[in-house]
Order: sequence, then structure tokens, then C-alpha cells
Amino acid sequence: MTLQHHHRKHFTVGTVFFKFVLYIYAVVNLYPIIWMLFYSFKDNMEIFTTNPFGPPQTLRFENYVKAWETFNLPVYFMNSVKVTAAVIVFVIAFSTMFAYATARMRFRGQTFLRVLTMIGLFLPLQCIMIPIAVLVRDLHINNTLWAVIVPYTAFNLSFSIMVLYGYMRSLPFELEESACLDGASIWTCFLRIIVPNVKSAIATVAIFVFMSVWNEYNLALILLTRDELKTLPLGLLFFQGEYTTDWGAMGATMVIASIPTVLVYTLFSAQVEKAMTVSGAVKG
Amino acid sequence: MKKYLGNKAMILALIAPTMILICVMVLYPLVILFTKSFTEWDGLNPSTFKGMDNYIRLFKDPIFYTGLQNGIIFALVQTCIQIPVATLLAFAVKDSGRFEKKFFRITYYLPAVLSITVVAQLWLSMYNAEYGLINKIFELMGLEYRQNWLGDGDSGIVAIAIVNTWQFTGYQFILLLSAANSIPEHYFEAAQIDGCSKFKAHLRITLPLMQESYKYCLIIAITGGLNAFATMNIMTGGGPGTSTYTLTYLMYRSAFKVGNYGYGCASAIMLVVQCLIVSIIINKAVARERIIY
Amino acid sequence: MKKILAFLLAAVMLLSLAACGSEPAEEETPAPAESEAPSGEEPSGEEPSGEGEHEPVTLRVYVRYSDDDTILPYDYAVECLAEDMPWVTLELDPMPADDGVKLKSMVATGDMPDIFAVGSVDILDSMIEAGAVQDLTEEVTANGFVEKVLPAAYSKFYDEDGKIYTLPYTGTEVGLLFVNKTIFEENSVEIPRTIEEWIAAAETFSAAGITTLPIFGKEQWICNALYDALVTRYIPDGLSSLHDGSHSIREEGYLKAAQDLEALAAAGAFPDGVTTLNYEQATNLWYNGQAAMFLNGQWEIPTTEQYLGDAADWIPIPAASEEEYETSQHAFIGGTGTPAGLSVCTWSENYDVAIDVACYLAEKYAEYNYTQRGSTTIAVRCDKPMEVEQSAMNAKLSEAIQEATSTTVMAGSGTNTELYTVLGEGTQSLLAGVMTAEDFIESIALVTGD
Repeated sequence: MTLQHHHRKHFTVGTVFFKFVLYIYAVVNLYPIIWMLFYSFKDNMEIFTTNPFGPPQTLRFENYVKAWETFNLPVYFMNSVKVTAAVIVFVIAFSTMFAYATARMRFRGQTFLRVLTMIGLFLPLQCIMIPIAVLVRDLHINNTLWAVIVPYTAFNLSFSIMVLYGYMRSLPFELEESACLDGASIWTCFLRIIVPNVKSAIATVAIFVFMSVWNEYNLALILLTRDELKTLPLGLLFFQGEYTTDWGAMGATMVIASIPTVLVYTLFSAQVEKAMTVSGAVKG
Repeated sequence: MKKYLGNKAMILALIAPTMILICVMVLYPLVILFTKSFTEWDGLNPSTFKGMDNYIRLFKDPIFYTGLQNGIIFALVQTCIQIPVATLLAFAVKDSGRFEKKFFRITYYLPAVLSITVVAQLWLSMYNAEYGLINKIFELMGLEYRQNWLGDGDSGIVAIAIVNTWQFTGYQFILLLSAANSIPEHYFEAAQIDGCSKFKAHLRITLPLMQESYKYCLIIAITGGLNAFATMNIMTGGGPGTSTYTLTYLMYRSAFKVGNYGYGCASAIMLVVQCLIVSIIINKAVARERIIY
Repeated sequence: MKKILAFLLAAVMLLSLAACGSEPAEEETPAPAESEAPSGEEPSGEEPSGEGEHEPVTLRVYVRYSDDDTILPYDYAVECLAEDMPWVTLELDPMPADDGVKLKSMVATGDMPDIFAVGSVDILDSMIEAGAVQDLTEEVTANGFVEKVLPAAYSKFYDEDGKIYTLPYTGTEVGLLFVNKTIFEENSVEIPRTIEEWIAAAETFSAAGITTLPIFGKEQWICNALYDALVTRYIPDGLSSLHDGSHSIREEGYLKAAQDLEALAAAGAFPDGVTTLNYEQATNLWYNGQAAMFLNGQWEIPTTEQYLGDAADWIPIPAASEEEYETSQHAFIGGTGTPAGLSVCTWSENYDVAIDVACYLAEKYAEYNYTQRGSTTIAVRCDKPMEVEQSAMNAKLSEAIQEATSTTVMAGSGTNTELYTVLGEGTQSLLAGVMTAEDFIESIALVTGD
């Protein structure tokens, strides 16, 4: 006890300084959101020349009115929700299954297959967009939301598999052994024992997939050509002209688009926390 | 047990959905990319076979080397900053109190939540040579160090890499934090009995146990750097001239600005090969043994 | 194809439903019977080409539709269309600045809009080869559009082989060098007549902390335009003639112009970080009276006049020497184009209607720019009177353009897209001072093979 006490005192100055740095860094990270909020109330003159960093001199609500009126925001928003939800479900389901098979089951070529899936992580999208568009047409899923759900799912699998594989590799083999002895089928073992043990990883992956799909622009631009199918990031298009851009209205659109991401992350990260304490308790 | 884990039908059922999607959406386009890299193609009409022409041209193209070099710089900056900073943050947050834990967990990840457009735009203002904050800070510190951060060929790429690095450090932070959190408490209890300081305990226990996570953090940081496109597309458009081009940029330029899709495919293939090699090396080098806790 | 058809049908039905929605609810039931009526009516008397034959048509229009510059004219055109062709409904889809990526992928999948804007020769050629667009000569002759196109827009209208693929909706505009006379007077600097004086002026302004020329160098085309302007002082054809090989990049004029650009940069003519300066930042400096000069197309006139009033004017690009001032002052940059404008997809379900509508849109676009903006550089003849007073700068331009001795294709674009790209990268490097004039010439020579 005394030893520990001594220890703590010894490190006080350093600890306080370290805490200070942590808080400074937090503020630095908070600023972009605030900046974006400021930005969404400014006009081009303020954004670029007179007042790039401070709060807006006048609150230009017309930016929000413009964002609301120029394109069909509720429809775009709902499309984003549908696409994101579907992709998260598919990615989590498929990647958990695949990661389990490659991390814990035994078959020839499992490493090869896993490395193969990793290619999705660095396939340069810009160059395969036209082939993908043709593919989507040939699969007869063009002009539906599946046109983006399917490619998004495929491209998000790589990352998800990589993370889940890492987690599953670290689980003790006794888990399966005892399940096997209890007479549980491997499917039951996967669903009832393995999946609950990687809950926190699944939650983390879900957050990442959410962010990447919610903000995706390039593929959506190519694959969604009908107004009633467009997702939120495509709304930005209405403000980027050939020569001029209405940055304020773009800021307003981005604020509207970012609110759900911030909310989802804040709520979800609490879930992750919970999931982790539970799994920690199981293990401990 | 061997039979149990070698259940063929089960394996097939587990990997089928992923393999189908990957084959159709990733490998098939890759094959197209590969075959088209030997042709002259405008992206729409039938292509003409040109053998190794595109690759020979690529190795003579100064932009290819600029792109290669910039990709490597980008990956280096990203890896060398993100991984240590994210590690430090993850450990610090793990040992923080309840409120702080929540607060830091949210704020540190926030930049990654925002779209790249917002972050790039903010940093453009920060870097601005006339009124940018960064030059102002140097001024305040009394340093005569006004820099034209993005307009200079050499500092440009580093300046852009730093933006990307900063935005996605939160990403690595969350990955490492959840990895650190899933290490069972009893390891730390043991360390405490040994009289280790927290820092030492992390260094000796947590870090080695997290190798599996470092593996994918490294892969993401490096391949993400080699593949960089979006941030520079918004910030400099590859300029001035070609000085902040990466291979992805060269690919985009060839395919859509110059209208030589086949040549773009060749540089895309070089990029994929590069990333694949890096990933395989990391896979072989980090966490070779299964770490089970 | 079936899907597209099904979708179009669905869209038409939806529209007719929406139309019904505004009517009293009781009438909703007879609506289906009503929609069948035209087909029943046909044999009963009216001629096939009669008014009653117009079935509702929805056309997808994929054009630049993202800022006041483009939204206002299109909205005007759509408004007029609702009166003149009420059976046609347009779905405007904004085109992003994506180097034609989306357009290309739409051609590749066959999911094409009916009407779309095309500006790049490269993409146009690919589309012609793919059969997505074809010669419109017959159709636009039949509907009388050919006679309405002004000669000044012919370079955008007729392809090299005389065929018509694009219907120009803007004229072939010229690039102008603007000056803020007040700033020149306040600093007692003469408005430059020669490049030498221009460089000297930049030095004076720079010393006084004033930006000489806030060029939005983040966009490579304007870097090209500035270089083009300097080249025309030595070689009137500017960069255009590099495309067809009638001039070699090794000619002295190109090197001299590059050196002039270097000298301007060295004299501090451009703001720091010019290659990340976007249009908004550049125009903020210009409109606020913080910059002495500005370079842009003539479309900049209305806004400039709005902010700076009489203080602003445009001047001939400074000459290589005092002796050459008279001869070179009417050598313009821009003013010639390559085929560009609205085009109609061959695969359109409503090909003929789409052509008529495209012609109509081009006409109304020009009409708006003429009547509401006082622009005289339009593509299609307008018989209506100008509703705004023509500005001094525009009037001066209308006169000067009559005496134009030469024009160029704007910003060095042309048939060789690689050359255009490399020129853009090179001129931007010159502006940033990261490349020497000699290296610049070498990098171009690599492409042109000189």
C-alpha cells in the first residue's frame, strides 16, 4: 500500500502534464465539428477571406433552407439509412462467418483465401468504377438500392474480416473443445460461444462500416442515377458549380449528414463499452 | 476435434457468401483491370492488345516515380505517427476514470466521423499561406518561418499526409482501445504484484498481447497511405503540377483526364501488387504465433 | 432495356397520378380510362401529327446545374418549356466536376440520360464510337435549329468532319484580363501596355503589399489560359496550334512566354499558395478591391461590374514590346471552341422529342443570357430585346471582337487531351515556381514528340 502511494506521488507532475495533453488533444479534435457548424452559417466571403476560423458574424439560416429546398432531403436521407443498415447487417453476418472458418476451423488454403479477401482493402476504386457499373447492370440490380448495397458489402468485408479474424485467433481453443464434448453442433458453437465472445469487435466493426457507407460518395455517384435512389452525400452535388461553389450550403448539407454519424457513434460507443464489460466478466 | 473443426459442409456454408461477393465484386474487376492493362482502351469501346507497352511506358514515366515516392512518404508519415499516438491514447484512455473514458473515446474519434471534404477544407484554411493558423502560430512564437505549405513541391505531400494521419488516428485509436480492453484483467493484476508501473505493465504485457491488432492497424495505415487519393484530390488536385500525385492519382489522370484507360489499369495493377506485397510481409512478420488469452 | 422501359412507364404513370392528385379526388377513378382515350381517339379523325397525339414524355437531362450561372438559365428554359411543350417533363440531374467519369459509366452501362451536356472531345469521340450519339444534321436542319446557330458558335457546333453532334448553348467566349483602375491610380502605376511594364507593375504592387493577379491556380485550365495569353503575344494561335502540330513547342515564342510567366511569378504577381487558391478565394480578393488585375472568361463581367462598378475595365493583354502593341492588341485568347454543348442519346426512347427539346433548351439558355444578362456572346440567335442595359465592358467587348485578328481554343484545350493535361500541370508548376521554363518546354516536347 505504502509503496503504491509513494509511486503515485512520484508521478504526479508527469501525470498531470499527460492529462493536460490529453485534454488539449481532445479540444483539437472537437474543433472541426464546431468549425463545420460555424462554416454552415457563413457565406463564401466569410469562409475564405474575412473570417475563416471564428464564429459566423451573422447566422445565415438560408444555407439550411437552401439545403432543404434544393434537393429531396428526406428521400436521400432514408435511402442512406436503408443502404447503411443493409450493408452493416450483411457485412457483420458474412465476415463473422468467414473469419470463424479461417481463424478456427481447419481446411487447406485457408490462409490463401483470407489474403485474397484482403485485396478488397486496396483495390483502387477509381479505376474499377466503370467495370463495376457494367457488372451491376448485368446482375440486374441497377436502378435499385441493391446497386450500391452489394458493392459496399463486398468492399467492407475485407476490413471487417481482418479485424474479426484477429480477435477470433486469440480465443482459447478450449471453447470449441468443451462445446464439442457437450455435443453441441459446430453451428451452435459458433453462434452461442464464439459470437458472444467477439461482441465488442463486432460493435467496433459495425461503427466503422457505418461511417464508411454513410459518407461514401464516389460509387454512389456512378451507380445511383435516379433521383429517388440517391443517398445523402450526393446532395452536395447541387452546390458545386463549374466555376463557383456554394460552400455555405454545402456546409449545411454536411452538418445535416453528420448529425446521425455523431449520434450513432456516441450511442454505439456506449454499447461497445457495455459489450466489453460483459465479455470481460465472462472471461475474468 | 479435428473432424469437428474440419467439417467440410460447414466450412463451405461459412465462407460461401463472402467468397461469392469477393469473387464477383473484387476479383472479377481485378481480372478486368489486369487484362486491360495490356491494352489501349478508352474505357468504353473494344480495346486493342498492346502487350507490355503500358508497363514499359510506366517505368519510363517520371510521374510513376513521383507517385511511388509520394505513396511511400504518405504511408511512412501515416504509420509513424498514427500507430504510436493511437497506442498512447488507447493506454491513457484505458486507465482513465469513467467520465474521461467516455469523453476521450468520443472526441478522439470525431474527426474520422466527418467527411474528408470537411476536414480537407479546414486544413486548407489552416495551411493557407496568407492567413493560415499554422503560419500565425509560427509568427506568434517569433519564428520567421512563413511557409507555403501546400504550394511547395516537397512539403506538400507531407502536409497532406499529416491531414489524413490526423483525421484517421481516431480510427486506429478505437481499434487499439478495444483490443486493449479485451485483454483479461488478471494479466494486469499479476503485473501489479510484481510492482510494475502502469506504463511498464503496458509495455511488457499489453503491447505483446495486442500484436494481432497491430497487424491490421499496420496494414490499414500502410496500404491506406499507398492508396491515398481523396485528401489530395480536394486539397491540391495533385498540384502544383504533378508534385503531389500518388499512383492512384496517376491512375485517375490516365483513365479520365488523358483518356488512356489501359495505361491507368497498368498503374492500378502496380498499386495492387505493391499493397499485396506489403500485406503479405506484415502477415508473415507480425503475430506469427497464435496469441491466446 | 426492359427495366428502363418499365421505369419510364412507371415514371409516366407516377406523373399522371401526381397530376391527378391536384384535381378533386372523385376524378381519380376515371383517370385510367382517360389515359387510354388518346389511343382510342387516334383513328377517329385527328391527323397523326396533330396536337392530340402528344403523349406525356419524361426526359432525363444531365447537365451542369449547380450554381446560379447554370441553374437560372435552365430554370428559365424549363419554365418556357412548360408553356410551349406542356407534355414534356424534364428531370434535371446535376453533372459533377468529375472529368466525365459518370458520363462514361452511363455510356458503358447503357443507362443514359436522354439529353446531356458534353464538353470534352475525347469523351465525345468515345461516345460516337460506342454509338451513344450520332450525327444530328438531318434532325436539326428539319427543325430549323441550324439556321438559328450564330456563326461565332460554329466551332462548337460542327465537328471536324462537318457533322453535328452537339448543340451549343453558350457562345465561344473569350478570356479577358481585367484591371481595377482605382488601384492602379492610387499606386500611381500605369496600366501596363507591355509585358515588361506588367512585370514592373507586379513588383511595385508586391512591394506595396497588394496582390497583382489572384489567379485561381488550383484549377489548371486558368494557368493554361494565362500562359496562352502570353504565348499569343509571340504566336497569335497560342496553344491551339500545338494540337494539330502546325506549330512546334520548340519555337521561341513558347519558351519566351514561359519565361515571362516565370518572371511574373518571381515579381510576386501571384499570391502565396497560388496553386491551392480556389475560385472563391481569388474572386474575394478581386471583388473586394484587394487585387489589381484578374483573369477569367468574359462571363466574369456581370459580377465584376456589380462589385467594382466603373473602377473595373478589361484591357488588351500586354504586348511583347511597345512596337507590337498596336498589332497584337486584337489577338484574343479563347473565342474558338471544340464541339461542345447539349447532345442527345441515340438510345433514347424518345429520340425525336429529345432532339427538339435539346434544341429548345439551347435556344432558351442563350435567350436568358442575352435578355437577362446582357451577354452578346451567345450561341443561338435571339430575337427578343435585351431587358438589361448592356454594361460598358460588354459593349466595349462587342466592338473589339469585331476587330479580332486571331482567337485561340480556350485554355489550350483541343483534340489532344494528354497535351492539355500536361500543359495544365506544367503551367501550374511555372506559377508555383517549382519548374523552370526550359524544363516546361521539355515536358511538353515529350508529349508532342518534338
